[in-house]
Amino acid sequence: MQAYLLELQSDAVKAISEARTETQLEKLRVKYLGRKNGILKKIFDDLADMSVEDKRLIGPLANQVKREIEERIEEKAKSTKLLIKSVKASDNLQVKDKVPEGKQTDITLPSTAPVLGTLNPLTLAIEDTKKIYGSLGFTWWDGPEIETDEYNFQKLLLNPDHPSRDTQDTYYVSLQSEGREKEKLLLRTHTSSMQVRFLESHKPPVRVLFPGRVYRRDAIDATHLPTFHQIEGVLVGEAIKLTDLLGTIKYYITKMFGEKVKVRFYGHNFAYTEPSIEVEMFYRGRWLEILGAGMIHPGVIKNAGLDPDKYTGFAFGMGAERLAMIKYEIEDIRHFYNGDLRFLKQF
Amino acid sequence: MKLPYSWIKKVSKTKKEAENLAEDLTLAGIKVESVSKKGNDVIIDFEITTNRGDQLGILGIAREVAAIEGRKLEKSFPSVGQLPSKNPLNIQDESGLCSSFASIIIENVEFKPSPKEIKEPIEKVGIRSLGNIVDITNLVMIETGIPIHAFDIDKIKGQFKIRQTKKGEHITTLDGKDRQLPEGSLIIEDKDKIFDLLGMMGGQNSEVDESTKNILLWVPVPNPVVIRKTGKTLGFRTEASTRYEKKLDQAAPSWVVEYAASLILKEAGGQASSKYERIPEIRLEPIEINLSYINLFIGETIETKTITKILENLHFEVAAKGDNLTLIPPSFRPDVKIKQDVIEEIVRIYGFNNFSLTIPEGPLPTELNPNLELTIKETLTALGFYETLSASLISQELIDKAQVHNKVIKLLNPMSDDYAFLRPSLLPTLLVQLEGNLSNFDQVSLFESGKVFLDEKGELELPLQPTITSAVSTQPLLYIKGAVDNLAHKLNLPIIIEPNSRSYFEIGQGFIIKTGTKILGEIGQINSQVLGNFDIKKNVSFLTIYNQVAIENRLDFKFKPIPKYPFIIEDVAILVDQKHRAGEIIKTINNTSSLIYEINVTDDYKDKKMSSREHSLTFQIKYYSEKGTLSNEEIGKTREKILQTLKQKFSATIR
Repeated sequence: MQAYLLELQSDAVKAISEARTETQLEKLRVKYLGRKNGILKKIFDDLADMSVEDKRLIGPLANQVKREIEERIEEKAKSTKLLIKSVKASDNLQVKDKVPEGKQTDITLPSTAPVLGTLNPLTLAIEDTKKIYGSLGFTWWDGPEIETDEYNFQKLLLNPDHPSRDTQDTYYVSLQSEGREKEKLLLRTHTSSMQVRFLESHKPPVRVLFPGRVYRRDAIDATHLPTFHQIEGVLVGEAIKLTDLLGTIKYYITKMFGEKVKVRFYGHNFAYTEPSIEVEMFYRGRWLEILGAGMIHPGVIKNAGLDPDKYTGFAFGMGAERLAMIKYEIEDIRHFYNGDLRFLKQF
Repeated sequence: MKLPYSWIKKVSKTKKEAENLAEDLTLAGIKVESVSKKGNDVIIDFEITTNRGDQLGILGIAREVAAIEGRKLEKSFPSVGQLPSKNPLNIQDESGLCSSFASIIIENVEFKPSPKEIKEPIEKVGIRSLGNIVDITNLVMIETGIPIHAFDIDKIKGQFKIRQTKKGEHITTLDGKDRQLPEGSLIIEDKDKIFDLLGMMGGQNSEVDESTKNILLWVPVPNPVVIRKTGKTLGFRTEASTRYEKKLDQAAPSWVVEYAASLILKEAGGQASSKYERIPEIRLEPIEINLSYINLFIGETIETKTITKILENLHFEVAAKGDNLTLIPPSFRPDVKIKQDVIEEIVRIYGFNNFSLTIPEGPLPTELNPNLELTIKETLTALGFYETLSASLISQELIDKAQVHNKVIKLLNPMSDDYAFLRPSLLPTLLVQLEGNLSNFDQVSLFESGKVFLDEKGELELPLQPTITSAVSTQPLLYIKGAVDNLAHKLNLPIIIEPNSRSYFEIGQGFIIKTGTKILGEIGQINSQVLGNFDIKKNVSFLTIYNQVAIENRLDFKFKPIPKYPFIIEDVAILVDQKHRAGEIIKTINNTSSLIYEINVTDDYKDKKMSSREHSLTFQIKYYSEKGTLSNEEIGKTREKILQTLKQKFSATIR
């Protein structure tokens, strides 16, 4: 009897460890521990008919075996997260938990966490530009918006009679503070004002962006605001070449607008670059003018106090709102400046 | 500038269709604005850059077309044979602003309507037909790019004097308008009257009409700056004046006048009796350029013969000696002066899109901007603020409404009252935008980063124009304070906030933020008067940070070791007069013992049972020692000291 019990135990333990499903485990429980027909029930029934001596021998062992089997079943159930339940219906493993009344959370309700704010899409376009040029070693710099005629025009070879100055109608400021009333200060009409400002005080090699606000004295209408933003770029060093300019521009446009974009350069004219180009890109089915650029005119290099035979470089400039409008398909420039949360929240 | 494709095709001998031609020209630097069909021709509208005075007619464009196609345009124009050089009209330039001119007198002409081959080309570009003589002058202008005028000589008495106007003079121009002339305009006058507004438009009193028998063909090259100024002041431009505003070929008048004369003799009959001209010696400086220099500058080697051919096709005289080229630009290219100008000619014809693309090489630049302005912005967006922008020009009205009068800078030449001043603060526009959102949103939190301007000395000998970041919010003041705390943490700035009043802050609700001795910014509740001015019916808190101060006063990051032993945490609740600020109490408690690690306010409330001046504050105190877990005794001693201090210094009641 003892041997039988021990063998029973070892069989049971083996079978329990091999059980894969809740159903199987339940079957084993019923087989061994079932109240009506379980094996151990039969053993205890037989035990009742045994002699006192046999009872003393077998009884404790039988109990031990029973406990062992119970524990193993419990363990197995826990470790595989099987629920021992009376499986009344079927062997179906999908347990449809019945959630008690009032305990089901409605997850579709709005979260209580604060909603993040957003950066203005103009900032996004400018920061993206900083990052892309950053990968080419460009840093960025801020500059004055109230500027002198010198830095805004003359040092860029735009003398007072230059025809380009007409298209850049200029705002002038009137100062009251002591000794400054006579000064002719203006609001910069382009970020190009930073070219000589920066080069004068930073020896080459120089790779720098100048994002910033500019002012044009234009009639104010649907597409013209008195102020908008540009991003200027300057790179000056020894032996900088035209192909460097073309490559840098292509690199930027591709990174900003995607690999599928096509880029086209064509000749143009700016007073402060020679040769000068304009750049168009083919994006979302049309050709769009995106920026102007050129090799910095030796006269400008000289104005910055550098030797134009030693140093060459290139410069480029683009409208910042325009970049954002193209990238995000924003149709009206005034959205950037209206502060309407229904616009700002989209970004 | 509009030109008919058929005419360009005829002169340039191109085989390309209009669209392709337009693209070729655009890539070479002559931008085409539009290409539109007109009847069985195509009209091409060009945008000519300011430096290309040679491209203002069919001839200039045709030269470019030929050069792009690898050819040199050789076009000659008929002349009139030898004419005596006489000046019967007494043409004299008193102004000194007419550097070159040529004129021919033709007698016994017959004024007639123009034949088709004269009328059609000019009508295609929108010029009205006004009889054979005037039409021919317009045709010659469109074809050569050089304007030419015809006078009825019999209407000119005694002299032909070119001078600048004094104040108050006037002329009735061909279009019938009586124009008051600005001082310094170029005019031509005879003994009695002003009869021509030079470079702009002829006078009605000298115009060619059906009765005209004798004409003077007149081709001047006036100073472009004066013509532009006059046109701007008078507010009109003509086909002629837009051409005169650019630098024209000073050698051209001589052959242009002969060409026009030959056409007139053919169409209107008559005899050319004399020619009078003054053409300056045109000696364009030779430009020395080295082939290696060209290729290094470009970054790619172009074959020498390609370079030479391009320049020759553009009518440059090219002399090669070894690696060096000596170039003389044609008289119609006064804009080509330096090596880089020559390189531009080469590369634009070669084609900017035909080069390889490279990334610039060179030593690493040393400047690097840590971009902390972005950190400031992102701290605000993390707290639920939305970044907006506004115009930096504002109105007196907005300045008054927001009560930000402070050394405001005025514009000398504003376009309108709305944009007449430079903003001294970001508050006015932020309030406008906040109000605009209240109809759609209950809570509005906005910020803007940008420059404000003060009539005070700043950097670089310019007025003060710092970049600041300001935020407005319908959230309470202590919420917006979170932006300051988070920013101070992110940028490692020690800060102190102290009361400070401002015209726009509510009394007792305005504060200044300092870092060390520098003013970092301000924070406060906007007062009800200002809110009322902006029609805002909610409370608005306002924060300003001065970006440069924040960026420049950062401390270095210093890692704080994590506590080894557990904290003992206790709460102390007190009833205290509201005049004692929480920050002050915390500082005092901190100073009582070195065993205090941290103190935070966990509750602050007021109920009816308290006197009007009191409120209840609960402090959570964390006790800690590096040496080990603190004993109850040690804590007890410290707690006693704290309670004593609170009672003594602040008359607090312990709850």
